[in-house]
Amino acid sequence: MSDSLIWAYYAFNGFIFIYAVSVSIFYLAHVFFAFKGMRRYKRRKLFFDEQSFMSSDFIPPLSILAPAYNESATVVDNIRSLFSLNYPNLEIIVINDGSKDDTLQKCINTFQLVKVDFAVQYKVASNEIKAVYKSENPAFRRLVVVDKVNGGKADALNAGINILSHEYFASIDVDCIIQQDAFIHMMRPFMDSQKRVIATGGVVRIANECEFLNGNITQVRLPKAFLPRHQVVEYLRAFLMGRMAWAEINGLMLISGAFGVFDKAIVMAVGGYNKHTVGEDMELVVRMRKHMHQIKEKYEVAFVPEPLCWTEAPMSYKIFSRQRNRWTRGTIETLWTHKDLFLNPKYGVMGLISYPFWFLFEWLAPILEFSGIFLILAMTYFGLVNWYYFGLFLTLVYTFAIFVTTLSLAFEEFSFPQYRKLRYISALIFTVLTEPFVYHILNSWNAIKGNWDLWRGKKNWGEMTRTGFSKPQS
Amino acid sequence: MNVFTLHISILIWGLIQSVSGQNVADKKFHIVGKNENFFRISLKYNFKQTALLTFNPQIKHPESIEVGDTVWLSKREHNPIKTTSKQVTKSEVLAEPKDIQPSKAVINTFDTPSQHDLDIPLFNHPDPITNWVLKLDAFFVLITGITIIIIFVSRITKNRVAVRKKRLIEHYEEIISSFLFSDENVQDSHYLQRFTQKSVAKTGFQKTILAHLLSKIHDNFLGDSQLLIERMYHEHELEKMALKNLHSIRWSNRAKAANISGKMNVKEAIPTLKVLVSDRNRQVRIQAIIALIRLRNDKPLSFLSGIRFELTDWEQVQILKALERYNTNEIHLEASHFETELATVLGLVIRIAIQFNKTESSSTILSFLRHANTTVRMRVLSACKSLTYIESVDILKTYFDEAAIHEKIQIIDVISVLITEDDGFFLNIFENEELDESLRLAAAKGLANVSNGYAHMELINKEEMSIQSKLSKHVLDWRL
Amino acid sequence: MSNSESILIVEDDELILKTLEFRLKKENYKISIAKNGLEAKKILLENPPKLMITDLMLPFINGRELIQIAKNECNPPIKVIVLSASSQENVILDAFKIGADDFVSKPFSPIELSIRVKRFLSV
Repeated sequence: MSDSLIWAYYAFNGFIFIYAVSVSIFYLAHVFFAFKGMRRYKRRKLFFDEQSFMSSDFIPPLSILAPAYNESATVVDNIRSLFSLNYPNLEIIVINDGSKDDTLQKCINTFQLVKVDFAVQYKVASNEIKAVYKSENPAFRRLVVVDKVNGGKADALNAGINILSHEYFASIDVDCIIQQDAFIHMMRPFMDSQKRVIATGGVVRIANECEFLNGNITQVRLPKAFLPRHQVVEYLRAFLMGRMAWAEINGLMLISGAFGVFDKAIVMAVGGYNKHTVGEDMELVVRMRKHMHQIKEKYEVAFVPEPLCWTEAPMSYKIFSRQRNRWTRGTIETLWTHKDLFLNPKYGVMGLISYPFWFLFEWLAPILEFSGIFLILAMTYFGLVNWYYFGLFLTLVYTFAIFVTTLSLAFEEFSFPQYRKLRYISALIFTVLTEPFVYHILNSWNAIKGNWDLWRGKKNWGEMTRTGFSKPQS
Repeated sequence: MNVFTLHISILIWGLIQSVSGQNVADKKFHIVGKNENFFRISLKYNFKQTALLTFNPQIKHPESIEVGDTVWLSKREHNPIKTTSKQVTKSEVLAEPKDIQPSKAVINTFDTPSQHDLDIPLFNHPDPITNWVLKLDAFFVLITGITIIIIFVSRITKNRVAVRKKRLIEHYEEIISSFLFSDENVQDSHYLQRFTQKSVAKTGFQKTILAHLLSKIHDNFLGDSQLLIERMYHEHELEKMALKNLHSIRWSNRAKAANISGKMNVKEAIPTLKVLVSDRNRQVRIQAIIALIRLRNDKPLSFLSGIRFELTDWEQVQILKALERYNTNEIHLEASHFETELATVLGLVIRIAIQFNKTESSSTILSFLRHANTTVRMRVLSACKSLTYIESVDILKTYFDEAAIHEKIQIIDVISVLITEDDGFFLNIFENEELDESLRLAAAKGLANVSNGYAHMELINKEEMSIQSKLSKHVLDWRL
Repeated sequence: MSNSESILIVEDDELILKTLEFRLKKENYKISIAKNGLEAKKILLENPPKLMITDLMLPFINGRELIQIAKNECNPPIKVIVLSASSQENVILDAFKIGADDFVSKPFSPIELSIRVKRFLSV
């Protein structure tokens, strides 16, 4: 009996050992592939000729979908800033998702909108579209405002897909600040790839405490507040290292809902966004990729590492916690819906590498981490902890963590540096050194809470979807 | 937007490793503490209970140990006195540590061989795990430190250079803009000489910036101003830089040099560019082709026969842009010769037809459809679709009657993308029951795609054409 | 013919802005420049010029709105020449619909532009 317990110990030990080693190897691989991808992107940019892009007749037109829910304070400025985007042929579709405030009325007044007849075909499922508005003013000719019955962000995007007229569409958060020539860069992968590109993701950066003017960023600053500053580091690592590396091996499974461009035909073929999940952005990409494997067409999900989109990160812990909670639930829901992908060679890189990675290291890691903490507490009680080894391995974990994060700072420095003052760099490095102690723990704790909420919420699933989430952050 | 966090889960490994006690070899004995029993001790030091019992012949029953008892953790060889004592009394336990000097034993948990102490003692730890962990620690800290230093150095230098660069750019901008639109005779060589004297560009740094500015502004102008910019470029002998870079090991340098020598009319680059057309890097090949077109080296479309790979949309756009330097008729005349097997460049040829001669492009496309082989025909159709070449709808309708059935399906598909409202085309096919089922099916799908087609969905349903309605309805259905 | 008419140039590319300014100054026009929509709007409302040369895509306030301001809020309406990087047909038609008087697409010939300017201001 006692011997078998020891064996169980050994087995668990072995599992944790392999797990830990593979996590580290994955992160080192991230560094490698992200470096490769970044270098290639930068080199190709050297001889990118914007002028011929802008003046060509053959640049695919683009529709921008911006769902808005109770945004009356900012919606007008935000739409106005979309009009100064540099792109030859742009259609701007703002979807009012049944706002309870005067979002719609403000748009109607400012942009001189009038109702137009529009034969809506519900090619992808969405709630009823009440009316479609266009501007009488030719200066805003390209603006379409859609008024629909509330149904959440995914539903609003689906309504937009039913309305839009071009082959490609971008989905953005209406409160994001988008750089002027963002879509020139975002559309380039669609035109310049030998495989069919089904979607392109972009970098999202933290805009807190930066200076703005009419929805354009004028001065980049590193936020001083605790949560935003840590999120800066986190986003740098996630986008410059994580996404870049996944895109490099064509295994990108997630394009953030705040900023991405999609091929409409494929999105329609898979039925649009899924409104029954809170992680609709990831779910859509996974479904699109699955579809491409099923129809056996070679494809690519591309990624643009340039800082093109800026967003306000949550400042208060409450909102931050809710956001992370939602991300966790979205991830798990997506992973659960598509569990047939797990190690399935039919789905190529996504089935063999991306999905297992997400499953093992995105979903399982916080759980293991927390169970580890409880295990330690229990073992301390029984006097089983060898503090010497505890300390020893803690140093290893810590040095590895700062090692990887510092490299992502280097990526920022040698790609498209935004934080140019020396004191920003010092502050960032300090943040990197302290991140594992507080911020990381908050993060994992919220992931655990997300797991818990999802598990508990399964019982009243229907209710949860109806109340929906519509942009808790804002 | 999930973030890939750095999981400390690796931590658990450390913890569990610690309880499983790889350090047994180094501790010689354990004194039984409160709440401990024999099993727990065996667990702590990673021994099987039976093994532990053989080290401790004095213990008869594992249950019989008490607080303060000594449990040996290895076979004692030079311990003649204690082996005989079967029961250890409390007083003896107190005495025993003195005997083997436990205080020293605890400090020297790891007896380090003294001769290795002299080199780095940190990494000569006898415990292999400590050793490895410390080595890895040192490695990560070292790399992190170096990275931080590099970041700082790069930031400081970049900030410094940025100031210089800004000043330099302003200086050059001033000079370029004043020289560009002077009323003096620009053909005059003194004029250019004055420009050179005024805008000093000696160092590589200055030359790079000047070259960059000139190539940037070059894109925005036409005619004489463009020529003048090219002459400014040559006057400073900036082309030497480009010519050198054409042989660079880095593909990006070669491609960039090709790009700029095409733009700035560097005729000396032609021989090298001709070699680069078959470079092993695709980007270099494309840039070399574009440069050669711009340098008006040959007939405008002669490069087409050399292309053995599919051109992406962006590459086609760039080539088209370069072709704008030629006479429209000249290009169109040549394009009409490419009506055969060159499927790889077909998209480009059609684009050329559309861009350079809108009125005649229809006839080009029609002749493609009539005379080329099946692959080419299919490509023409998909090109019409992807270029959203709306003018081709009429041609496609003309060609529709002579097309084979699989082409007809394709044509219906293309047209359904190009038009937004049905003018009866789909409906006629759909309602004609003599036609092939698959054709009617395609028409039904086409109907579902156009905006006024929705009105006919009822009709489709009413007719209850099993496959048709299913397929066109499925477009409308939500499915996960 | 006195050439002291005032022209506003709105363009976010510094180099083009400078070259245009230089060129038109040579022809004795009074030139004011703006690098973005906001600056341009301010000049239009406070110190309306006779002619405006503007890009369509500008930071803060885009060219289309500027054209509207020039046409509706200024008295007398200001002549507008659009100088844009995109030469697509619908962009050009769009600009004329809003009220632009002329359209020049980049790459452009500066001589041609100055002739167009002359034509507008000599009326």
